[in-house]
Amino acid sequence: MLFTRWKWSLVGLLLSSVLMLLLMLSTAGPAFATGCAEDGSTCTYTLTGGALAPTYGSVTLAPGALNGQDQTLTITMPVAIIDQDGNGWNIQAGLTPFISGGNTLPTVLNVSMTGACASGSSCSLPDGTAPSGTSAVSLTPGASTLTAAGSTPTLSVLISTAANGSAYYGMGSMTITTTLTASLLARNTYAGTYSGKIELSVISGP
Amino acid sequence: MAFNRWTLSYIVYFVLVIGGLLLLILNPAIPTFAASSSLYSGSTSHRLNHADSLSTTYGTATISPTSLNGLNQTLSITIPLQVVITSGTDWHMQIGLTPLASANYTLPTSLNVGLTGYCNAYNDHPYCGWHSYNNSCYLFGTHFTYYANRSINSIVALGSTPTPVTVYDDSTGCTTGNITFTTSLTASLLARNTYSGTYTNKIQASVIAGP
Repeated sequence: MLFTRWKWSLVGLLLSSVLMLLLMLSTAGPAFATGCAEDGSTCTYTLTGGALAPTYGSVTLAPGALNGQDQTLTITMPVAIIDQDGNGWNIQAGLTPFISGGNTLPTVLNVSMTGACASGSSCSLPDGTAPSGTSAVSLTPGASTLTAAGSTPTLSVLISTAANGSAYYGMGSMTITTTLTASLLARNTYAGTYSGKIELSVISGP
Repeated sequence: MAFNRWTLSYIVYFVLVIGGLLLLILNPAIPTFAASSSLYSGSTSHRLNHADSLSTTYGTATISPTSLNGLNQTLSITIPLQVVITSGTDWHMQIGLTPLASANYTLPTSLNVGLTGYCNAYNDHPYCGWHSYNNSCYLFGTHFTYYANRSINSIVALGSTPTPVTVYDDSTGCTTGNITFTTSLTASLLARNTYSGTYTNKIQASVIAGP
């Protein structure tokens, strides 16, 4: 028992010695370790981060059930984007036909887009719009329709950031939602399980 | 025998801890604002009353944030400056800065001014005094931070060399003690027009004796 206590005491002493050595050898103070002189000399301040960072959301397809009426096929593709490097970016998308056995859903789809700033971000949307709050506003896509074709998606540019002086809009944190729609006529829309491929990419550069 | 070992152990332990604390306090790498600075800016109106004294130690200005995240942030430039002063000495503190600019972009040039005083421990003064609300002269205990009456609410960064403006004026000789005055300059960084990159500017703080 006494021996164990003595052992722990030695461990404590060793730790204390190590701490003292660290203190003695320290050359940098903990306060104001980085910063600028207050004497009017040149101060360098680096703002890091802000590189293009897209976060792809889940694609949703609707409707999920037929009811004998005409309906609208709606494919919704949200993507959250953070960018503060001023280099601009563009969104590209493509898809293959949705096929179930011998049936194919419409292959020509209308494109619409919206953008909304994230909470706490006074962002600029790719067209330069600076909406207030987090309300979504319409964006004009570069292509009014997308055609589903082939066995792998062929990407088309849907929107690009506009120039803003020497930089580009699309700054801050925002969600851009691309919506593809097509009419599902009751007479030629069949129940079943359809499969297709959808691809959406956010690429750096205007 | 066991008692002697324990006693010895505690004595050695005590010496090590006290020694460590002393080293921490005396370590010259840690800014304790103990020495007067050669950057002291005396003016032609320098005027000290007989036993009065004024010494200044300039700290290091810090700028934040250092990283962008897509959200709005607040640009904050913190400028600490320590004065050791006996009451009756008229003096004022000035701050000046040039715009934070990179090759293509400039951060906000109009900044809000905040000012606090922190009373450091000081053997000859059990308290510190400075102008606080309504420019009244208040006394504060050591290790106490409190609002200091600023002369201006905002400052503009401009030019290629800093143009100092007075942020604290003690023409009445209210200020006394060993005080760290911290000037905080702030501005909103909107996400849509704040770009990553390396920015440079110049910051100048001055303590000038005299009204």
